[in-house]
Amino acid sequence: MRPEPLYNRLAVLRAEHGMSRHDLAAALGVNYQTIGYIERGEYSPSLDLAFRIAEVFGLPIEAIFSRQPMQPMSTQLFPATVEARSPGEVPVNK
Amino acid sequence: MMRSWHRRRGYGSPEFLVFVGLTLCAALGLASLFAMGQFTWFLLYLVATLVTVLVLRAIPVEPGAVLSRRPARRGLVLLIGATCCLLTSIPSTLGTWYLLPTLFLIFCNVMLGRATQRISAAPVHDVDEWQESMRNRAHVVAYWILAAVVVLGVGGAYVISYATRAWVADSFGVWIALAELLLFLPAMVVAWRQPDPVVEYVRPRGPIRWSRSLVFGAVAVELLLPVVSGLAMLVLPPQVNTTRRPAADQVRGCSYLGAITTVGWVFQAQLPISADVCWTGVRAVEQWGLNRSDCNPETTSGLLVTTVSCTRRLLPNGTLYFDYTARLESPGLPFVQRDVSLKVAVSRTGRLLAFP
Repeated sequence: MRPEPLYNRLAVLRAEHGMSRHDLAAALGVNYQTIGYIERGEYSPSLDLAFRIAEVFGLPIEAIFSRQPMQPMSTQLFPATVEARSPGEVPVNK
Repeated sequence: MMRSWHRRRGYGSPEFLVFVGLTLCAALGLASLFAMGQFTWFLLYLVATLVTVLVLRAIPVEPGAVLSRRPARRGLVLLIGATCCLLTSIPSTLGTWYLLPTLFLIFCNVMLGRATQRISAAPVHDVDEWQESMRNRAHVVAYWILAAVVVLGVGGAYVISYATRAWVADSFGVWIALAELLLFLPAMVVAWRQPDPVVEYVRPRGPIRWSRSLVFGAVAVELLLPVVSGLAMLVLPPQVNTTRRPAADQVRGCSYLGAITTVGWVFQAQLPISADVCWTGVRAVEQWGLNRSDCNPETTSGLLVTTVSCTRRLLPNGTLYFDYTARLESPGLPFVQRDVSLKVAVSRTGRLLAFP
């Protein structure tokens, strides 16, 4: 049986933490290519590795991995604000 | 958990000490090649190759820009497959022709190991979970491919006809190809299936460790040695060491003639000729030597020596003429041959007309 794709926001979290794939791989004790394959959805990590990734970023697993395509962080955190704004509209600071 | 992939091995680590020890043994063995016979030579060469393989396996490698790309890896796999087909097609009568494709196969296997980071046969603690899952799948696929090759290929050849059965039984190349599949098919499957790595990430190049350079140098030497030595056999002039002195028989004019012609470098053959030759004024005769049994090499080291001609004639003018011509072939370059002639001609008055 072919496993369902597992979506993740590993690349975003890495960027937020200023980590390269090599840094994250070294922190997890895996090959750096494995990180790349997880990010591209070509490999679904084991539960153990998923927990270790969650520990590195200090987030729950469901914040990093999902069965559904990941929404942008901004959409999830501020859904009302994002929906009210029309496309291309630039927020103005008052 | 997997050890850090980019782990450093200190100069005092057991692996480093083993590496140094084995390299020294290999170097000493190679250095003494010049003085040793064929069996010892091949034994040492085998030991040096095994040492290199063991050391090579202990050094983590990155596939590099070319070999990390899937088309390059698949091309390498196809090249190995083609070489195996070539090996199986070489008839057993062409004995030394196996060596060149076999050496090329070894080179391809080194490249294959580099392309796949040798994950197909690495210890469990050296692979991470993605690599382990990749190689597990590869071993399953390799098992079925090997089973199909053995059952349909080898089994079929045994059943089809006597000629095909004889081909499989006599052809050394078939067994080399089977050994290749048995040992490296999982790595070939990994190389075929592994997706392209993350292209935007370029790992910073670290300092080149001398041990890595040394071991790749050893691979190059072991692959090139038979080829260079084969060329040297063709190009280098023979070294001749001659001896001529009066023989014990003082009644007639007699002389001891001895010569050893050394051909080649590392792969060497020494062709001797020696005899007591006497002359009476009417004709020259041999006391001993210059027989068919004298047409044999003194020593051979990595060269095939066959006798082309071995003739002894007494010419009408009383001249004793002896000719020993040997054909030298290198296993590394089977298409390279060299004929070396040792001629002795003594006139009826004892004049040496020909001598190496």
